[in-house]
Amino acid sequence: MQNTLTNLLRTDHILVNVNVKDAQEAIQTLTAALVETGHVSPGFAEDVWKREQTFPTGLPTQPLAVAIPHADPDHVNKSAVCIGVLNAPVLFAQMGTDGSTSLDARLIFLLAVKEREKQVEMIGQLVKLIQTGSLLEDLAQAKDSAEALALIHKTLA
Amino acid sequence: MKTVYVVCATGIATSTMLRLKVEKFLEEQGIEARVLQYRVTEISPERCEADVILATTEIPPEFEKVAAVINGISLITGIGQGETLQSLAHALQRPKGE
Repeated sequence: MQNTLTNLLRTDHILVNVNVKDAQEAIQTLTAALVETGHVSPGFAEDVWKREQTFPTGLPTQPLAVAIPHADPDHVNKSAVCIGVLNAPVLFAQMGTDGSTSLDARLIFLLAVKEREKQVEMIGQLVKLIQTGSLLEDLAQAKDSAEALALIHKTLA
Repeated sequence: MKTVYVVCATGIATSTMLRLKVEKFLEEQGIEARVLQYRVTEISPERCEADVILATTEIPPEFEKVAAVINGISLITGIGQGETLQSLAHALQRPKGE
């Protein structure tokens, strides 16, 4: 059970009240939190941004759109997820499109996956989170990281 | 046995999400099929064994001649998931080559 999202998530990987001007800055800000704790090296932000431009990760979830930027594991030391709750949404291109369709993403889930097969359960839990509309709404209102983490634990329980 | 490819850009995150949903659905419905996970650059229409390709990324149009290609993004957002799973079941119940 070690590789669950419940076990992986930590308050220093949940950023609330984030002010960023665009998707690239959002990716840089979230990556910085993972660099700080040694989970990824700084090159991860560039890998993620490059990939985002070819294979976008914006998702039209309801009632709030999210983005799940990620990249190959080259710069990942240890699997982690960093969640950013933005004060104002930024444009992410929609997944499965050539980038011509964009959406306003308010919640960003930056995924750093080291070994896919060990993270299957974590990825499954992540799907549950983004499909729980009430959680997305509550997260957007969370006052601090501890509150956000508690909301997530409640949803996954 | 029928074969489903679950495909995304890096073969890490969203194809895993698709795989979990599809395996659960096939089991619930009692549909026998193998589910194989790929990144989009790993598959080619010439060596495609899939009856159905479920993808979160754009699949080149040539694949439509060899398999049913279904957009899988609804399985990740949850919006319109039922219809997508029905299309999958329908495509798997068709005789091969039709």
